[in-house]
Amino acid sequence: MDEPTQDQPLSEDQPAQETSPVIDEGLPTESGPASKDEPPAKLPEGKSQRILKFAVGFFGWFLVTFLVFGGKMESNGMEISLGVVFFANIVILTFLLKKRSFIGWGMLSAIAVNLIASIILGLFMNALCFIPFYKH
Amino acid sequence: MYPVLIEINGTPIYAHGFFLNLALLVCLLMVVGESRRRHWPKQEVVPITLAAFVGGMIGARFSILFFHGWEAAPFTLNFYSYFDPQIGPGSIIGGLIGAYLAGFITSRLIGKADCACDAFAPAMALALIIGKIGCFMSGEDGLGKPTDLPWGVSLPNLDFRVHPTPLYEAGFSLVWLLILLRLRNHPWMQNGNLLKFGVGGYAIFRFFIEFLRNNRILLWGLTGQQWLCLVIILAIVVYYAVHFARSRRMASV
Repeated sequence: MDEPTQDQPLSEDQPAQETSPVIDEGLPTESGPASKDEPPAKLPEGKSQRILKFAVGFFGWFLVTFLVFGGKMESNGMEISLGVVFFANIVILTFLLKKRSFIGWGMLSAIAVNLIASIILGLFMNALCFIPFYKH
Repeated sequence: MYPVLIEINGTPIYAHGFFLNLALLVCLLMVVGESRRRHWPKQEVVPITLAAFVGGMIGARFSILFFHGWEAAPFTLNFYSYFDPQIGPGSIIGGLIGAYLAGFITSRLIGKADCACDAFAPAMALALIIGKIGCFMSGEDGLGKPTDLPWGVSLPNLDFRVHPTPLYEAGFSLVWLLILLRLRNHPWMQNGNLLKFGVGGYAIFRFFIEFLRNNRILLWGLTGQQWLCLVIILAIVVYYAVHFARSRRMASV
């Protein structure tokens, strides 16, 4: 459909374009000739770097969630304070995705995998949509 | 009612869970099919779908806090309980809002200027048809209010018949799916308009069907779900009013 823009992530089969810091002399460019004071253009991440960052986000989420917070699954009044964890997850996830980091995508995938697992396990449990609050 | 669909070697397979899984799977397949038909690149469809799924699941559960108040806090604020399979996913209205917001935010984060989210509209209606069959078979929330109508259904431990509201929703979703499929190529129904039309239509129907359901009254005789439906309808009306006013201003310049 659309040509991938600079903002869009590149697909795997698409080679990462090198942003050449070399500008031909005499050719007009949008930004003009690069001066020596300007910082060098940021090179796009390689595939291995992206995979590593994704893995850090994915496994890091499991590590932080189940080791640091003890993987508590019970739902009782004492754990309402864990709402902090809920909002922390949302804020950190949004921040990482906003930074366009593959760590964020790894974290999002880890949450998705857990949600899928809980839905599949729901096949074997009579988990109705919020039956605890149903009063006839 | 048939809360247990089948038993495999003594292990029960519950109707609600089965139809929920089936609905999500069919929804995903339809999104993939629609995305291909619309030439939506995979580097956009994957992150948006992933975010919409997570946002939908979180929205479905979090909205329960709005519907049921503070007593639902242990289930809605405790992040670990989101992965507890013994607690159901929550409200479809909250799920729709969560999925929409997460998909929208993600499409902006990956630098997508226009909206290709229309691929989700028919998939949403199809998933609702399947999911509501599971709700009906499990007798969720007592199905509906008492009725003397001939199609009222009996529930165990009740000496009166009730409205089969999940079947009403499944029937509406079937009609809505056909309408959305019919309109999906219309020039006016592109760039996010089909999804807004789909979600808005469901919200209007859901607002009225809530009068036959057993959900808790929140304020002024309306349930929390009805208030959320009103918010959705109002948001869509405001969006189009602003969009229309801006278009007229641009045309006059």
